[in-house]
Amino acid sequence: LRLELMAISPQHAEALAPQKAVRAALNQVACAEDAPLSDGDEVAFFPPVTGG
Amino acid sequence: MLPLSVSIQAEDFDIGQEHQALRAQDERVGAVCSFLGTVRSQSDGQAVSAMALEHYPGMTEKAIMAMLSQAQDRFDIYAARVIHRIGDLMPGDQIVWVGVTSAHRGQSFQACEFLIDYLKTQAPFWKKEQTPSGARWVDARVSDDEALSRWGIQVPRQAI
Repeated sequence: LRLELMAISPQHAEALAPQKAVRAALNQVACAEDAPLSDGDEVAFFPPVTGG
Repeated sequence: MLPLSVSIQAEDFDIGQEHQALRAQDERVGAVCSFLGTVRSQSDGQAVSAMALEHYPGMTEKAIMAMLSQAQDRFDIYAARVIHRIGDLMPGDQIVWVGVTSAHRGQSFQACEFLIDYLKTQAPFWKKEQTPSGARWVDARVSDDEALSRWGIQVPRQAI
């Protein structure tokens, strides 16, 4: 999925580039990038978090 | 009040009230331990005039509730609460508060530190600082990952 999103535009490709630290979440729970998907799943990619 | 709770809010909060509420009507409590995080006016050598905090609604609450459950499993505590602010904040403002109650100090001290270490690296918040040279997103710190690994939790590595 990450590779497919990268194909949408140069901006997508830059944000999700392999050398960038990107975290993934599946249905609002942190997951590995190779987690299996089902129809209707909510997927998120985001940078390392900086809260607190 | 429920033994475990989380609030994500733009509004400020009153620590005194939170302390009172956390231990109210529970006479087993002999210790209340809390951590308060505030906005600094300096970061990486630059003045910070303001900060904006964004999060991932839905996941944020779920992730923090999961952390609170883990804290309850690991430590002998009675109640725990996390408050995290979002939106625009100024230097000196309160950002985050973690409060824990237990019978004796050891367990609530440990649970409180565990919760803030966990939150720093696993709760989906992002900080953007306003500095004299423009706005910048805050980078994640390796030291925060190291703090979490002390508790036997490894930060997920990149799959690619």
